Amino acid sequence: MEVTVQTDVYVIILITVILGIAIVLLSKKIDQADPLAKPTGIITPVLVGIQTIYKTVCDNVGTKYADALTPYVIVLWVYIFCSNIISLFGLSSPTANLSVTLLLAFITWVLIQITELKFQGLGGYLHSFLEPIPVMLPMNIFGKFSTMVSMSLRLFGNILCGGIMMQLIYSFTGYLSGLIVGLFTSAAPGTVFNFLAPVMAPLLHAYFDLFAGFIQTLVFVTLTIVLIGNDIPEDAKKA
Amino acid sequence: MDITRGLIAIGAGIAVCAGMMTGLGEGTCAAHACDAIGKNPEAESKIRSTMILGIALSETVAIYGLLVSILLMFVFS
Repeated sequence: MEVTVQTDVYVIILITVILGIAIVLLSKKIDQADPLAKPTGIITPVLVGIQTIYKTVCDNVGTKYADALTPYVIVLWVYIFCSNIISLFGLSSPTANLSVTLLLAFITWVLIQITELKFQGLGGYLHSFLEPIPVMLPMNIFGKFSTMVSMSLRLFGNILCGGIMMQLIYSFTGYLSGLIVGLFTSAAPGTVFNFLAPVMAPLLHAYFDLFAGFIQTLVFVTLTIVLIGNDIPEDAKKA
Repeated sequence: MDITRGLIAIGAGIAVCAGMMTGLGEGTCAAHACDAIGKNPEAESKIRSTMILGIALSETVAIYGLLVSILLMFVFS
């Protein structure tokens, strides 16, 4: 039996190693910093980002469970964003692979189910499949799984679409520069340097990789927080 | 004459039409969010997160259409 390894695996390992090193170095720096003095250097944006995420989590999940959920949300945010913008460095995005996004959505889905089980109890959880009428049982089962499928497909579809668009742009500029050079010389098409791509591609890279990647990260993280927060009753949110 | 490839291309084009009404719906959603922020500027953060959620949920339809067309183009042809 032959085992083939997708190239995404190497990119995932690369991202994990880079993030691991960065997190270890940053936590060492934060530990050494004086908590009473003003934060300096790289620590300031990190603290501001963590505080913003913590506040968003507090608004949706409540102060009692925010401490438990914030680390997951921060890791999700950093990991998905780095995966989305790694295509700026010429590598293929791991999030353009359905296995990766399905796994990320599966973790969130398991957290949602655990929250429902915790606050509704096993009886309430099983009874929610039969509401409003018992005939709805198959639809409720599909509805439970559709959260996972739609979350994963949304991220996957957007990033894959951006990658395909960039490939189309590159092949189009290659064709166009071959056409322009072919007007003046007798160079065979396909052998000409793609000189139009550095002119046209950067703006589109900024849109498809940076902007769409940021928005999709925001959407994935916001959906995670909101869907988990919806299952926590209002009176349980207070510390 | 290989007519299958042409039919697959037509099918992919029809599948991506799922994004047509989605654009309209997302535009309406953003317009109403602007209205709401104009009326209630202090509730901006809540309105923004709700708007992003609504836009993301309605965008799923367009993404499904896109996926179907990508499948048609790269898997079946």
